[in-house]
Amino acid sequence: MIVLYRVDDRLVHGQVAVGWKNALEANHLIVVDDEVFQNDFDRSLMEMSVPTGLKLTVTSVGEACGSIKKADSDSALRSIVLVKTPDIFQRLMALGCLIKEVNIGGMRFSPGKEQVTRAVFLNDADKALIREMAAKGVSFEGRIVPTDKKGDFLQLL
Amino acid sequence: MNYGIVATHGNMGSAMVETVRDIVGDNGSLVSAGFHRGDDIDGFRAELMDIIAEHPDDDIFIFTDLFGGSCANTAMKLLSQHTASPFFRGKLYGFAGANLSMLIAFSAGSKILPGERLRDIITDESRRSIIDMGKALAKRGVK
Repeated sequence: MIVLYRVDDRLVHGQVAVGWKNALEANHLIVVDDEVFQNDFDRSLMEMSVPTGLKLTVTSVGEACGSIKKADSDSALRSIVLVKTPDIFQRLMALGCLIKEVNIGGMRFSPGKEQVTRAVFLNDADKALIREMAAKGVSFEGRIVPTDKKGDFLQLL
Repeated sequence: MNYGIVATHGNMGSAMVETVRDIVGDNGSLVSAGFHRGDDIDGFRAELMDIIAEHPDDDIFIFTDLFGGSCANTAMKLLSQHTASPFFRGKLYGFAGANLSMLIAFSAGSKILPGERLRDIITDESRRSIIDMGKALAKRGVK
């Protein structure tokens, strides 16, 4: 089953591979990212850095729904789906993935973005996209680590 | 159940605790105590004892940086004497060579595992976390 859909532009790192993994008893990470998928070196580094006991699947956006649906129907798996930006989840929904709740855990600063949580910076386009997805029934929360208070992310926009 | 004190030279311990919280969150099981240049070692020992005294029924894990250093020596003395202590009913464990993997493993297991099990897990985790990354890359044929 899928236990978390997370937006985090660092993808696999300590907060995910240790913090969320432990809290959700996850045993599988699905990274949906075309760049990493196509880059043998990046993919190899990611595979090396995943802790023991955690299975890693790296997939392209185009092929991700198959991996996600397969993992969701496997009772032995507890999978975290990771993307860098929320528009990837929007694309996955358009491709047939059913996504009900999204954790926005990390989006770095760049010019034109403003701080929304300790680790999330958004521009107007990001906010509009999140509101659009919310209007389609997706709920959002902004915990960086599992022990953070779970609140309604939309109220921060 | 289990409570940890990261007892190190300088600000290393507080930075480690802060980093653990950044990575896995704060479950209230870890604090730090720093031994700074010019500090009185008896005062440092008293600080550790005060923290222990606040948790008389927990098992206490003291994490120190350098085996043979002042912090580890102080913890070692407490370990050898604690059975005679009137105020502490838990078990005391001491470690040198603390690293983030050790502290994260402690934090993850602190509320759910008995101290005797946790002591083995955290030493295994910390040892496993020391990796020569160049060799690891070479082993996978990555140049």
